[in-house]
Amino acid sequence: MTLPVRLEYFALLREQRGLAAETIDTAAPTARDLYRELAAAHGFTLGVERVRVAINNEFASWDRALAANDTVVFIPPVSGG
Amino acid sequence: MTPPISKFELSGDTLDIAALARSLTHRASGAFASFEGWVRDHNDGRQVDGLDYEIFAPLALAEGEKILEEARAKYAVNAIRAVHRHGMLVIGDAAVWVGVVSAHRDEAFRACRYVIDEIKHRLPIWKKEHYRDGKAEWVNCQHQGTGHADHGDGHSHQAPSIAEPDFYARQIRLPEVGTEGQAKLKAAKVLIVGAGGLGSPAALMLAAAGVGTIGIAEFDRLEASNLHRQILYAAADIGQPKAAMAAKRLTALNPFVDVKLHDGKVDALNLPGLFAAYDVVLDCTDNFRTKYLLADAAILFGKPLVQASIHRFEGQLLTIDPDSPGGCLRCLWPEPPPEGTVGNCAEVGVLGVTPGLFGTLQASEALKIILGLPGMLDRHLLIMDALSLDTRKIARRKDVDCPLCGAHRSVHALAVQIDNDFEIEAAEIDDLSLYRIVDLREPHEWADAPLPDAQKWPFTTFNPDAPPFDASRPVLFVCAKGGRSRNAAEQMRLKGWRDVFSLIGGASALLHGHRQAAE
Repeated sequence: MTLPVRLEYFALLREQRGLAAETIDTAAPTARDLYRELAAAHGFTLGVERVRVAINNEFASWDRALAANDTVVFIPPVSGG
Repeated sequence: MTPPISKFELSGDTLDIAALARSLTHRASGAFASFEGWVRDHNDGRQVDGLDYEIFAPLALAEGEKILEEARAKYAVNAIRAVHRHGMLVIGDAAVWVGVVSAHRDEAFRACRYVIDEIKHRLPIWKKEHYRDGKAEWVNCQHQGTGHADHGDGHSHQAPSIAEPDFYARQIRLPEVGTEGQAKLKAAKVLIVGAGGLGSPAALMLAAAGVGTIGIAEFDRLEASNLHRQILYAAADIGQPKAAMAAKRLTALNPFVDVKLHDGKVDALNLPGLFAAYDVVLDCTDNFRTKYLLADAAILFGKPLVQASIHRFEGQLLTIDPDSPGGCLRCLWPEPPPEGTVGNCAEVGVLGVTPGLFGTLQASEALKIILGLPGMLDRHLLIMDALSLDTRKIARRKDVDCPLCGAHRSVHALAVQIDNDFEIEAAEIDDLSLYRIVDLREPHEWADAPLPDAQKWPFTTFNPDAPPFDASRPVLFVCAKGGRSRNAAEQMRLKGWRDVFSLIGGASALLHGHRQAAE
């Protein structure tokens, strides 16, 4: 079974993905599984421990189960000034 | 006696004109010209009782010396001296005195005229005029031209005089501000750490809004590549210390703001004092090390911190309020990523407007905190893309596993920054005899590159709490290649030892360096 989810990428992840947002169908049960799939597919250099995930405008645990039509945002820290 | 070649001074006491003139006595000089500026009893049709001079001393002294040097070079005079008063002066007091001695009268007159004209154009001086009707106003003394409105004390007066409430009339009109809010702003103290792309707009906005005390913590000098985003500065400031230039600009924008300079790096030693001295801190820095240091300080010392960070066209903003359930930076990312893994401005580039937007938002957060306005970003992280203008406010909560504010804390104090210059090359050492050389190798390694005079402290017995020496001389740790010595020096420095170094390349490098020195 797959679910449609909207993905948004911040900063370095946006560059490595090559786009800011997309909607995909995923079979990943949790946010962690989803990130790992994406990292493998797009060559993300940051491990899951360096990134935070927000689901529907709230920071979420990586163990959070995905639901249909979730908006999932992946956010690494940035430091420019 | 030889008079001073050129000397510019500020004085809080009545000027002793005769002594000043006498100090310039010079056998090779046939001419002496002087100028005195006095406080007179009227200005712009108002009766003046006295003047209160405010001078930004570090800049005034530097600029004053520069003016005297220019005059000396231009007119080939033998000696120049100038003194400017500060503090409260009454009618008839001398506010400024300039004296020049030279071989002939012509250059003495010209140099004297040059110095007083430049002083009134360039020196960062404000005067508060006390009028007979009991009112008082601040008047900026830095004006162009030498024309009609000369004020008698040597300061022309072409710009209109300014009263502090006029600055804020439009914001006082807001019911959310009012005179009460404006008084809160006047009483507030905000520290801006980093006066760069974020700090520039933040500082300008806060000074314009009338925040009474603004601290600028910035150790860098201005480079040309800063100017596209660091709008506090001018091209003429390139090469100058940014903190002083920031103070000049902010004081010129709003002379009623007290700008305090902190021109060293912030660290675990000075942050407790800095956080104690301010009400709100803005993190306008550009590196994770400092960002985590400031975030830790906010929680440890209980002061609100507004953090912004930029990546190309995107930025993040959050306010850490120690009392908020929204948590801290470490609740989101417990540890800083290794430098270089997520990119920085110098590497990836940045458009000036992006830090411009976020620095302005930081100022907005600071004003909300001071004024007690709603909407503080203490329970959200704001992310925004300046291209699409997509903005998200992401709700955050204190993390029970946070190493700083969670249930099982592992961060209890600010990280002590280890100087990265404790590793030294043999060739850098001028006089090896000044050092206590400590050989950290094991006995079986000693013969490889013998150091018979070195104190032996095999690394297997190393304990930073029990060194077999005292701190009376700088210590040079040596091992086979430089790895153990680096480790040991780092541990000693973490224990507070300052003059402990690690030799790059180990014992053989030391012997090789020795031979070179001997040849």
